[in-house]
Amino acid sequence: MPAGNYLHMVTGFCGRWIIQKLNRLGEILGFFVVCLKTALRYRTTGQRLMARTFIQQIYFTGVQSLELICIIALLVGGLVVIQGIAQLTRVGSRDVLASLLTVVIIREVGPLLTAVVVILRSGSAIAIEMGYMTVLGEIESIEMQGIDPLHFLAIPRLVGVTLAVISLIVFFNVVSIFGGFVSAWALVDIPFWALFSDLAREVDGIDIIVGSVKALMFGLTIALVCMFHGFRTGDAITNIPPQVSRAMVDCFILCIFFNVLISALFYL
Amino acid sequence: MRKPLISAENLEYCEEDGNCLFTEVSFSLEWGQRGVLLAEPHRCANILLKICATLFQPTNGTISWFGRSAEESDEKWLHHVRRRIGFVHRETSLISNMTILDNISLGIQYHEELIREQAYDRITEVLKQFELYEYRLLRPAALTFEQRRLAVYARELVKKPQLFLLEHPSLDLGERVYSFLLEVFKKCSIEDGCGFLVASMIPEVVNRWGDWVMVFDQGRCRHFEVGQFDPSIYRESMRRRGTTVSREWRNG
Repeated sequence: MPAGNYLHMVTGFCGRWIIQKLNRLGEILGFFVVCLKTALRYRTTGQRLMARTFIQQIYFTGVQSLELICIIALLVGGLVVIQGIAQLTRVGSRDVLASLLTVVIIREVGPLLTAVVVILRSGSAIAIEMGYMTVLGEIESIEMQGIDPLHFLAIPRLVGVTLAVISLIVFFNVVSIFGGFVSAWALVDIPFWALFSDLAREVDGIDIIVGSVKALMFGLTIALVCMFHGFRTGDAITNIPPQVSRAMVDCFILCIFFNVLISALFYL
Repeated sequence: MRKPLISAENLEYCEEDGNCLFTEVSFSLEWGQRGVLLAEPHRCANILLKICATLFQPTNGTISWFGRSAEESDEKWLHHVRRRIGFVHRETSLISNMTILDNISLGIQYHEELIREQAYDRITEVLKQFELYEYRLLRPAALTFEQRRLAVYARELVKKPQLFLLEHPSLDLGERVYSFLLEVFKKCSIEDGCGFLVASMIPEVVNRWGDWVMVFDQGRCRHFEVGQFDPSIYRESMRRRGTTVSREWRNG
């Protein structure tokens, strides 16, 4: 086959892939708009029931993840400090360790790793739950009670997951820095207070704003994408695994994309 | 004069591949009236009931609920209409991660802003009447098919609907329970003027449920008054077409 044909095939494939992804992104945005409209339309209805679902979601996504987040954060904090000490000692810049912790953990790794944990733990659960409810006709049953399923199922999860992700990112950062401090103190005997005062100097307002924006975007993305794919399961139980898999991949890609986009917007 | 509970004019439903399940379906169900849809394949009736329940949209034709057509209705009104419709079809299910109490009281809890205990008090009577009280704290998976089906009926009845859409109402129910359910519905019909649209493929259903019958025949429908309809002719025509129609084991 001539080289031009291969080029044609490759560009065609890439074009189709990009259009497909953009279409899906558009559909997810549309889903978000519909969710917002639904939340406004029924803002005074079913508040007790919604509050219960919201608390359950916070408990499942936030509280039950604390243990896992804590272990990962401690290990990552230690790992960053170990690598930092190993590399920075060679160039004699051990005093920039706090700066490294800020850049790596607070700005990038903290939000992203927390998002990955939430995607794997809660995102998959939400996509599967919505998928099963759709296949088993439970969504129709809810509709026939005169309840908008988006209002009853989607809104509390959207708000719950977003708030849980924001809280978990803060928790991850705190625990991870603590892990880093402990490693630094244990390995090279850098006192706690010295590292802490360096860190306090390094972290500025923009880091907190960026962290908050990332947390908000990741929370919304995870909840929206997983529910979107769950609701689109159709009527066959065999559709659930591929939909969940699509949800996971889309969540992951979108979170990385938003991470890069937000970092570029604020730090470049 | 009260407007009909539901009326349809020239309804048509075609699938994405262009295959039309039914065309030119027209009917009107008045207050206190009972209509039966006899359909083979059963899917026709299932889809028509879902259209009547506002869950599906017909490809063509108009449908009105309580005198208001689908074109005049927004999403919020449709949700309101659904509260006035008791809908039990063959795939109707309970929400699997909620207890029977929560399943049955879901609508009340949501719309009337009651705390759980108040909502539970409201449905205790129904639970006892349907012999589900001792199972109230269990999830649906722990119940028998018959109990689950009863719980679905109980959930629909606590809404106090004016229109019932039922697909093969005897499904999964024993004779005693089915007779009990018929009594409950009869009371609804007499006291509240509820209307019933019942879909089935068993012609004997007409004897218990019908004021009029609509027979689906290869996508078209024919109307009969109950006196004009002979179940044995329907059964024979189905047999000739190679379809075995199961016999309702209860005495008609």
